[in-house]
Amino acid sequence: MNAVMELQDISFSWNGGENLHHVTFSVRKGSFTGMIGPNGAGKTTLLRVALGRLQPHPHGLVKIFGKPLGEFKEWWRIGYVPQTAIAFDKIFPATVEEVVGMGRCGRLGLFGRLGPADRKAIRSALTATNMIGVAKKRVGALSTGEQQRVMIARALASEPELLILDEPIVGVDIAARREFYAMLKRLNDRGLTILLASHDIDEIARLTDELIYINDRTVQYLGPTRRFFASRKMTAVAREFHHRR
Amino acid sequence: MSAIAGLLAALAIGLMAPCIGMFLVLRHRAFLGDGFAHIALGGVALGLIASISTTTTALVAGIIAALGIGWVSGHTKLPSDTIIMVFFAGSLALAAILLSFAPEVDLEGLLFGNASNVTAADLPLIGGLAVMVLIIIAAVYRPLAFATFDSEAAQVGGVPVRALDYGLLVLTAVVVMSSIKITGLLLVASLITVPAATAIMLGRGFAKTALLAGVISIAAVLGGTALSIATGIDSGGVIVLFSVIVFFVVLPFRRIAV
Repeated sequence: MNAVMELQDISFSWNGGENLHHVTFSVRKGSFTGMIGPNGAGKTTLLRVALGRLQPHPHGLVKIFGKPLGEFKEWWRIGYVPQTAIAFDKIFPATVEEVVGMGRCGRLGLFGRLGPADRKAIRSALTATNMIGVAKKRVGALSTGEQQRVMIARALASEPELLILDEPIVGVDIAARREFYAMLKRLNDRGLTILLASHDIDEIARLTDELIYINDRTVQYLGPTRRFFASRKMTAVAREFHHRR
Repeated sequence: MSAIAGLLAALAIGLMAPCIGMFLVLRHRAFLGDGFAHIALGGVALGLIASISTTTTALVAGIIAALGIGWVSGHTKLPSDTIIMVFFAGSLALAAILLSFAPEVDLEGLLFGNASNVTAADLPLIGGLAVMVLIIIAAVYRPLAFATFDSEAAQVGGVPVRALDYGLLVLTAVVVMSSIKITGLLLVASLITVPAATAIMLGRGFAKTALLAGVISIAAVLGGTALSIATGIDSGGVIVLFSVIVFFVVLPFRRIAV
């Protein structure tokens, strides 16, 4: 399997409690992988460990694009939209275009200036997310659905090979959600690998081809989404957290 | 010469203060400017005791405090305002002890600024620091804006967020320490934050907002300093009052909900 991200035997403890317990999974290149689990199951912690934001126990191994985490430097190959992406300060005066341009920082380095290739990538990200028409608008003046698409555009501006989204539809209305998921599907159809952590189990079932189900601090299921939802037991488990959340 | 020196120093300060102010206001750290102003007092007191340039000693004290605040922030979970308060209190206490041994001090000038106190000898330092601040901010404004807007995504995207945080602390110290003779210790933070806050209310894109903050700031410092030189009124008060008036004039025309 051509994996873009691999986690082997990852455990993580914080504040005396164990948050992740011997987690192993991988994300296949070109896949649309969903990550589900009840609140507090450890989805966000797992993503933060995978991205090097939290340090796991030393016996585990994280590999990104085949390289151990400590050796991986090409962070622009990953587009990341954190759970808190649209919780930004609404007085921030940046335009949509300026926010999307921030996504080029990883490629440009600390002192790089925007060149024609960067402007093309920004324009392409705005077009892919259907935000080109509001490029000159202030980002804080947009609806939450539009703001979320701007954050995706910012992640796409680095021309990533892997897009990671952590609960991206929190606070987004139903109509905007449909449009948002259709956009993700289009991006995946064009070859972008997507890892989507979400509570929206119906959309995860409909859109993704691979599934990671996390509960009780570890991976309970890893495999094709279709097989998970075909299993009566797993469906019951998933429905339980769906109703409990 | 003193009048020209005062105006040139005011121009340098008017240019660099809002560059830093934009980031401090958007990071909800406007208090940092005030914290550094009080930290400066320890450096000023040292300069007075040692009979050397108070701008230089305040600058050294500010940079040491900036690095200290950055280090403590990175190694504890304490809120940033609490950490600033610790350094603020330590420096103020040091100043209280040292000033009891110092020769006579122009307390009014120190607290409220006096453009006439700026000499030609101060200009190379203040001008050099202003050029340095402007070049650095122009070079890193995009990653610094990203780290201010969404530090988690910026860090994952390869932006050296910690280094930029340290850099912003040091630059804030530099701006505050260079501005003290013009605006005074009590008013320096206002010059950093008020023009930036005024421009942010007009909300016309990040780059345009920064330019607008610069225009407001330069108008305030040049107008205030000229009036101060002509009338003998302390410059800090005139400059800051002017920028606060602009803030309230702009308030009804704000484009964003603040």
